[in-house]
Amino acid sequence: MPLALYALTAGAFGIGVTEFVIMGLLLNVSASLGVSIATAGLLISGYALGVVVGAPVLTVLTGRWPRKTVLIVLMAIFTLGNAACALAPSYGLLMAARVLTALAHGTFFGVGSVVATGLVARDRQASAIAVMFTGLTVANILGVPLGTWIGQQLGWRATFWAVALVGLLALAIIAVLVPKDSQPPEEADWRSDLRAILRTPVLLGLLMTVLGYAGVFAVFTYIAPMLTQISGFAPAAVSPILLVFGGGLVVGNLLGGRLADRNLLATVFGSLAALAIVLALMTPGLHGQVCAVALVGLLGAAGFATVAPLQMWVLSKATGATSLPSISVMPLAPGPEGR
Amino acid sequence: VIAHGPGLTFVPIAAALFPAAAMVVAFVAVQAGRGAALSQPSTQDVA
Repeated sequence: MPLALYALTAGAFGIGVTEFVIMGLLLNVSASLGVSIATAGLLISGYALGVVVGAPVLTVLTGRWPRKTVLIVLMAIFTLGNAACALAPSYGLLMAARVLTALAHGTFFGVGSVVATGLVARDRQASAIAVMFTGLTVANILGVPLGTWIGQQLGWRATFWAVALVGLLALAIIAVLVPKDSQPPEEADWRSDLRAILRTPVLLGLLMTVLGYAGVFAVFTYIAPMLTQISGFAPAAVSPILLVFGGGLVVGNLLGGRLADRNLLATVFGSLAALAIVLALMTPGLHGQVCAVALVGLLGAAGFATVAPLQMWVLSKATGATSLPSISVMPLAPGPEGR
Repeated sequence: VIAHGPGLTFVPIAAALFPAAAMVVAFVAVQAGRGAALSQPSTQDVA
């Protein structure tokens, strides 16, 4: 695989860390800024809002720009956003900085996928996209626990500085390694994309995606206070337990992809049912430490087993569209490597 | 409510309602006849 692909992997890693690391730092942010844990949790909603707004808007606005330039600008936004998070003196400004950071998220993966496929022969395009999304997977397995550990040792601002540094490195690597476009990009037909998204089967697929992830993130958002206040773990234990979540995520993603290739409908129902069961079991199960760790791993597995089937459901119903449907379902997805 | 221990305990079971609702939506989509092709191997669909 060309080295330029790994520049995209580095960017995906940074984005993955900044998206998820806040879950492990909620207690620190809450105490530091003098807000409740629930209010601190809204920083995750703010980031998601930035992704939802930024992905379609920036994709349309930068549609005619050279793709390398778009990637560099996006990583610059990402880096500045994380630096602003690290410097934010108040909760309101931290929220604004999180939203700014998130603007780059969806468009990076949309444009990055196009660039990745252009770097390799046609028969290796899926693998090229998978290499880019490996950054998100590694971010969940290693980046988030490491970022949480840094935050617990040096304060949450240090974590955002570290992520800003990753963004700066990714920007530099992209500037050096990603080749310039061989031809100007075609303008995306966003009206046709919008029409495709508004079809009832696509909307139902997106609604299923929203509901599925709502279940995962309603719990994962508060995973740190749950583990410390309900299960009785020390704050230092949160970081290694997040590793278990990351491991489950990888297994679930692979399993969901494989099963969806065999029978998509059964996998959609099966993975959502598994997720509902795991979540329901967490209410009594979190009171035992061994059980809590096992359930956190199962939450990662069941939650991300839904990714590939739901993504395939939406994409299979959004025929005729180019980029918007995929960036609509990609923001929280760890990628297609499981297919 | 969520910021304190007792409230946190019930977050997961409340969250379980979301994927359950997603299953209902999937059921509605299938019943509407729009999910009929999904039980086929779908790699080609995506491509």
